[in-house]
Amino acid sequence: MRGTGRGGRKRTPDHPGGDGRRSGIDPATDTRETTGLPTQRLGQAMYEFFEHTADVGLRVEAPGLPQLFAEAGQALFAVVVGDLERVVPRCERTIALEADGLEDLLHDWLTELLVLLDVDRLVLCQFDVSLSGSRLSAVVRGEPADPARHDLREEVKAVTYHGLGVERISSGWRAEVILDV
Amino acid sequence: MSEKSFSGPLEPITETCWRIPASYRSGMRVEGRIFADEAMLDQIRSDQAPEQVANVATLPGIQVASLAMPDIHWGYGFCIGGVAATDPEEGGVISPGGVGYDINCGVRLVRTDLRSEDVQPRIADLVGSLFKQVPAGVGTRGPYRFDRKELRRILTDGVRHLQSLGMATEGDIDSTEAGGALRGADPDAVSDRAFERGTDQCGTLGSGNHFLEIQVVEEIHDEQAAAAMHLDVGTICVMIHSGSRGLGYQVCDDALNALRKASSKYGIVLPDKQLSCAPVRSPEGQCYLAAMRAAANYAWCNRQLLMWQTREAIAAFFGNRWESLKMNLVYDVAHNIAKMEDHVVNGQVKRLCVHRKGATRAFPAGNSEIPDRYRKVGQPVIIPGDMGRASWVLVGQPASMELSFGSCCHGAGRVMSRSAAIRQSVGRRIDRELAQQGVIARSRSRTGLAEEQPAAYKDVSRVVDIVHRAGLARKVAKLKPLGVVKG
Repeated sequence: MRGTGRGGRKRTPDHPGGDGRRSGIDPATDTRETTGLPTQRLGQAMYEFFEHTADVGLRVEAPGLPQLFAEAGQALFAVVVGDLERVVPRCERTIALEADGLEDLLHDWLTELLVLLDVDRLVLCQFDVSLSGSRLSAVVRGEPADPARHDLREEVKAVTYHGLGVERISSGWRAEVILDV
Repeated sequence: MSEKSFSGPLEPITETCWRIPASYRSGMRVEGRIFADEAMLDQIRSDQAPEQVANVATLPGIQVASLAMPDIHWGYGFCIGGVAATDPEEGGVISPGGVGYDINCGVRLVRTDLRSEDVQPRIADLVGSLFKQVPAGVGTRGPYRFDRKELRRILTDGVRHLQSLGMATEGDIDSTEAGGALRGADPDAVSDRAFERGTDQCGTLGSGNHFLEIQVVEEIHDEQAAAAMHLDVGTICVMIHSGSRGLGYQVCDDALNALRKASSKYGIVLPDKQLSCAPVRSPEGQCYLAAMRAAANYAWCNRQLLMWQTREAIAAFFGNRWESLKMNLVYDVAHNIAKMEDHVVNGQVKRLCVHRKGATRAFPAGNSEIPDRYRKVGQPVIIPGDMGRASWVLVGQPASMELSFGSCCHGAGRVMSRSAAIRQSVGRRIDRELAQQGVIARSRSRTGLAEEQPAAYKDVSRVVDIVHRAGLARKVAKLKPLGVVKG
């Protein structure tokens, strides 16, 4: 269910968490309209959701690892909040993590974000990520979840290890992860 | 990765059971067995669930077969609908992937003296009242906030602790699997982070497929068992489906991290990282068991508090007391859990670690684990279906002990991904469609009803029919949904 459409580099037309209306696309470099594949998106990051019978499969691509992790954070919260663009970045948290490898680091990073949702009730919309080897430091921003203002959709229970992968691709990096919802 | 289909062998054993031979893949220690009928096979082959049955067959110490129930579908690690028993004497392992993140996700059924004619004319108002009063959805806090000391007691003593707080009765405890508390739970095995996530979520429904439903008994298939449960055609019931909330998810996550290291330490080769495990008797295995039991006890308390709030809301709505309405718990079953149980393997009684991941215990009549009033009919098995068609009550049958380690299905089983369900509902109002069928559904999430629409699931009655024909459990009552509250 790769998005191939107009205008949205975060093309998630049929997923619970996304409506594909995120801005930031450069139409000049987005060739998916014709090829169906994200082949010329250097300098950009994107995510999409793939089919999984019971849960949510998430695929992220980015030119660099910090963008890949930031984009994965965006995608995670696009599952939780339908209108992520309405979340105001008025609260800030810092995160520091170290893991045995990139896959574990991605798992731990997304899990850390879920805990902020569960414990502090924060929905997050901005993710500034730095990576050094298998160490991650980040500043994330958002605000307390408010059912009156936010389109709260899905509780993500966990980030699974099933099919978890981070790999190099010609245009940068790709990650896949399945979320338990 | 995408949703690949399964092209491996599925050989008929009986008309309701199919084999994946142990020769299918290297590393399989036993065969796989899937309970299904022939008509279901194409759908079962359509995702990776059968491959997951084969993966589980590689776990050290697994006994007899890696099993799957007819509501099988693709999960992570184990398939949903999976059952696996391992023998600690033979190096048998315990795997958090065989329980899932939502430890002791389960379902309970409450019966009432209300009749359909009392409820149906006012169903929209009743659903509205429950929707207001029962916490559900993302980021919702419950009315109960437990400090660390209280939480430790919940984790150790389960529903018994709520009884001491006046929020559970002896009858509730008697009608809950394991009495609402697994022995051997250790709050010290639960991380600080899990405690934090559990502080104010006990008594909240969550989102996804969790629900609270008002149902009416539509058909009785076994008079004696139905009488033991005080169910009759027209009886109004409440079904509640939820689990251990953030506390349980964190316990599972912590354990997967710890056990992934343990797997290599004990020389266990894993076909899927999500299957990380450790010998039951290892310190790592024991630590997970102790934490998992604590999370299971939390989940029973969660469903107990959800029921308590429901009792209060319904009693207030009808201007009565819940005791006068005889809103008594029929039974509460876990469907994501690992338990130490005695089973006969090759004529020998063995103490096994039985994993049920999307599967329900279904012990037959006479089993000492069953409350006295059900001892002659068998353990009640509560099987929720989708919110449009039906749910079922069954009782465990003797063949379940021979064929499935005392287990049967847990629900309808998804056939459609969440995104496909949303695609199918574009331009439709699922709530209005349900209302035309006589079901009033309210969800806090705009997409919740679309994702959970009836067409996203197998027909639960077909699933139940297979476990009935296979002799795992016997049909007692069919319930029709009238009102649905979702997160």
